Amino acid sequence: MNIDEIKKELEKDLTLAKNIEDLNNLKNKYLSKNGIITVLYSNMKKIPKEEKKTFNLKINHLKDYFNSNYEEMKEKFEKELLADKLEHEIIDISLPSKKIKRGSKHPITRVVEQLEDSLLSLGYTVFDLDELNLNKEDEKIKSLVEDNISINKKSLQVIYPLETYKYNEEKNKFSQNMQLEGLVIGKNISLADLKGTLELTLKKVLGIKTKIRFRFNYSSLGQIALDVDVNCFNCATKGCSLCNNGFIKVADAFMLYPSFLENFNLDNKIYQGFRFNFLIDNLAIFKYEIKEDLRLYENDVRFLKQFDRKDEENEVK
Amino acid sequence: MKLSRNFVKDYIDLDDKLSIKEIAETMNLIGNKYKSAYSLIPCSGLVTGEVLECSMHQQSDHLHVCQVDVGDEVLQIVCGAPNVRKGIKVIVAKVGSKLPLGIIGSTNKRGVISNGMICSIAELGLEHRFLEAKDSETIHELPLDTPVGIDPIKVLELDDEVIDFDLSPNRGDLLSVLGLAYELGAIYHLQVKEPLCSYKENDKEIKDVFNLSVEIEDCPLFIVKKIENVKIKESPAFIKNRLIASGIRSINNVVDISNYVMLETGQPLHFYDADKLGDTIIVRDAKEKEEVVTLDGKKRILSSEDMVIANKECAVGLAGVRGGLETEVVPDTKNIIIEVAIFNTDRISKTSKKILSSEASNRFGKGIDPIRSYMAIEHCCDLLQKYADASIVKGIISHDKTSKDPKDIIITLEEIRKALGIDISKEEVLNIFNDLSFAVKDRSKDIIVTVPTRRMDILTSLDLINEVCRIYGLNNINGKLPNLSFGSSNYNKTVREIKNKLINLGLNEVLSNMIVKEELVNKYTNDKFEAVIDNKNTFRYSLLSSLKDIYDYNKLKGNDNISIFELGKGFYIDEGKVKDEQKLAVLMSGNYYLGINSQKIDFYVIKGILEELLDYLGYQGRYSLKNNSIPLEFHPYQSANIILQGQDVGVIGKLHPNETSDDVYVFELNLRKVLSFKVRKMTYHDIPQFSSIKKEVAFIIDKNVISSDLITSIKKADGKLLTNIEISNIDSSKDENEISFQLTFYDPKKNISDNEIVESYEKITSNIIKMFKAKVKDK
Repeated sequence: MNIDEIKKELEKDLTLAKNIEDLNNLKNKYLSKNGIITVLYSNMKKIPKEEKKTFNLKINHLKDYFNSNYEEMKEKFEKELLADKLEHEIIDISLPSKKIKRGSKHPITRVVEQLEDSLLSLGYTVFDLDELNLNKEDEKIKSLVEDNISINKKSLQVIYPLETYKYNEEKNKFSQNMQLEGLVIGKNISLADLKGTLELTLKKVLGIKTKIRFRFNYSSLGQIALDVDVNCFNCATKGCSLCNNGFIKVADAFMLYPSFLENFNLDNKIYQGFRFNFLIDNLAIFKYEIKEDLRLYENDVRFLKQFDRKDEENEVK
Repeated sequence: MKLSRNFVKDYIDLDDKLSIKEIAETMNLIGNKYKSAYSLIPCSGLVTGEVLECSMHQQSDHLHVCQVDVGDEVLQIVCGAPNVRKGIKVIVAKVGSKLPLGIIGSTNKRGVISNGMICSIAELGLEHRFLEAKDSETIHELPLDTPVGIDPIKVLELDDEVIDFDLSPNRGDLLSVLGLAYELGAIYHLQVKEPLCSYKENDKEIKDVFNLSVEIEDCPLFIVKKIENVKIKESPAFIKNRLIASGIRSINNVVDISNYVMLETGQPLHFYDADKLGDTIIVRDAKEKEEVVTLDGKKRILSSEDMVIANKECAVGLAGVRGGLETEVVPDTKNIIIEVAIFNTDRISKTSKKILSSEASNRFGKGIDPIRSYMAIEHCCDLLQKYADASIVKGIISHDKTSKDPKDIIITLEEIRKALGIDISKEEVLNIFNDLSFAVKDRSKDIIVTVPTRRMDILTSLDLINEVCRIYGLNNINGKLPNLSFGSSNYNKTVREIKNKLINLGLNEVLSNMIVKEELVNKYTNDKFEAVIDNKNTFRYSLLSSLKDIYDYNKLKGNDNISIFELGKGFYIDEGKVKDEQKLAVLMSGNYYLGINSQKIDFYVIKGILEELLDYLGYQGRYSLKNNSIPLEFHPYQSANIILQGQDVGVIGKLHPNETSDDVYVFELNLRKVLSFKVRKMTYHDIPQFSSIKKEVAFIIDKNVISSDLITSIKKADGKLLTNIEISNIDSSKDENEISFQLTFYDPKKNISDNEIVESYEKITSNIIKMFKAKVKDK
């Protein structure tokens, strides 16, 4: 067989090769110890000297031709093989995942934590008033101020969560309520400062678009007293069983009486202050649109499990 | 206090375009809360009509088929009322009109189409107590000259709206239509017109015919006026309807006028039948056990704390609270003595709390403006002459120790600006006081405000700042943040981190009631303590009593797979004082989801939760479980005390079958105790440079040997190379347990040689075999 015939056969063989196995068989056939091309090299001796160079060149070409085709086809077959393998590994991605079940954080805790975070970022300190709050709150506030107001440090900016109990004579029962109270004492504090603090904090927790309304209230506790309302989500402010004529009260607050500050030897011409009180239950009802307020302390796991993700962030400028 | 819009319009020009809800909300914003705002007649689509024809329904013995002219059309209406007949003017609810009973539709009544309804007064939605029998039994007949096709509510003069206020106790002045008119005037910049009175007095002098003796100091004002020859009859519609709107039933013209003037001025009045009373009134303290029968017919037994109005013989009324039955104005009363008085607020409050409260005692208890007392007398005479044909005896007898001088209070612009944090101008401040009808004198450095006597609540400049704030409007103040240099904020995040950890472990947080049934308070604990009981309510000591309640509730609701926790307080009394302790309780039952596996909760699952939490908090290796003293509510063999550095900090285990038939596992930690142990600083340890070697060993061992003892012994037996022991398998299916361990050997200085491992391994196995009579299982 001359080289041209070999090449023709090789070309034919290559077109017939269908997979890597075929290809390796060809490699065996042409380039193994007794392969056709290898044999050609050993035939070199029989070739007249003057033709040797051309002959060698031809064999080299043939070998290169084989090798380049071999590599190219091998890569192609391997790709096909992999594609085929991957195709057989197809899974149903819609099947349920193997996840760990998340627990849930109570909506009351969520609101308290968010208020705390917002007020912490304004420099407040969180206190634990400790002990059961059975109408002894005022004594505790007094000692809190006494402990923290000194000659050097005549300002205070604190919050403290409170679980309060209101005694219902009709039902002969206490009703539970969660509150977060705050107290600020400092120089040149005005009603505008109180209002700004409440607005910022509430918008951070409830969302920037929340409509917040301030309502004057008479209170024997403090000088200028006010209530804070949000629009009822349930009735478009028409009035329903959940709200008061279309509004839900979420906080109350008042400016401190000058006489309160005098108790701590603070000059009331220089020092002022305010107290505020967030009604956590109502905030949670509004924030999560809980239409049956009874659910809050019922602890039905079907209720609890709904609060299993991070709350959205509300950016307030 | 129910405010009738028609009533208040006598004194102030309220814009008709303002809805009653808008007015109520505006009042609400300045501190005057309200319960509701509504139309007196909650109906729409009503017209006047004339019954043109009326014939009996052929299929009925009581229904009539009427043709009713309602102006723009003639409607066929089937009507069952006994008084329906041709020619009368009636109230027609057309198809589509809204009534309290619903929306009127076109109906088929036994084969005859009825396009609407002819109404009785009762169907218009007035409260029952304002109705007479005929109002519900018959359709209402309007005057025969009533035009057809107009609004019948207007014809009836019932086109009124009401705000039911829930007012602040310090604003006694607002328990009057006039007082509320001043508030509305301040908001809407409107002038209040006080009532004008014009009546003629007869020739008699009251001093000649009547005597007054006030024996006590707690009655600073008492005025007597005599009226003769009144004609008792029905009140005019406007008085009747305004009383109804204000929530008071109409009785007759004379009684209604006393109520009407009280509503108007806030000054309660009392009318005596002069002929029954006699010619003398004595105001005195009641005698001990003195009796008086009040207007409601009840006998009241008094004490010297109460005050009475008496004639020469006996008490004829409970001063400031309720009149007496004996001297009541009745239909044949001719002559009247009017009493207008002011009493000590505290004494009235006490008596009314003890005996009964009334519209009068409510007002007396909050204080009366003496100027209004005189106004009340005047207006009362005016109305009695107009609507009861009264002849009025000249003059009054009065006992008056009251001051009627208005208060002057000095205030500066600076004070107001500083308190409110706004740049309000002096002009704005002056305008606000003007709107409130407070007289002002502007001296350049300050302002003198003259507060009218009706505003008894305003005492100091602080109260004036409140007024400015109210009327300026809280919502018009621009909020800002306090400009203060405070120390850094401080917050212990541990509680929050514990909650987050447990939530990440798949538990749901609950918040439960701290009040538990008394019989539960000593459960789930071995601690000796005195429980906190307040008003018969017992506060919990162990959180587990709350969690068990929640478990039972969920079970009842059909919820399975309950994994809950609560971080809260337990209470007890120590040396007479209420103390609390922060606690953490976990309850798990049903299945627990861990990765792909849903696993039935057993002791080891909840133990895993406990350990995960304690390790996370930094107490790894410092705690253990010991079965020392388990509360009775726990399974005696599947429970343990939690010991942290030698101290008992809680209990873990399965609830006793006596508690529940379900498999419920719980633990409770005294968090305060736990967190009192300091946690080591978290520091980095070098990553191993040499390789460690793992080796398996399995022992066959008596079932009574507990694994922790085994592990301790293995640790002791080896030298320093054994760095970790893990139980890889437990087979307890045979007579003896087969426990497999994976041992990890490591030397931080070099790679361990095979010899060293063999040596260690031999030491361990021989030791365990000797100690526990164990066998090593061949591999």
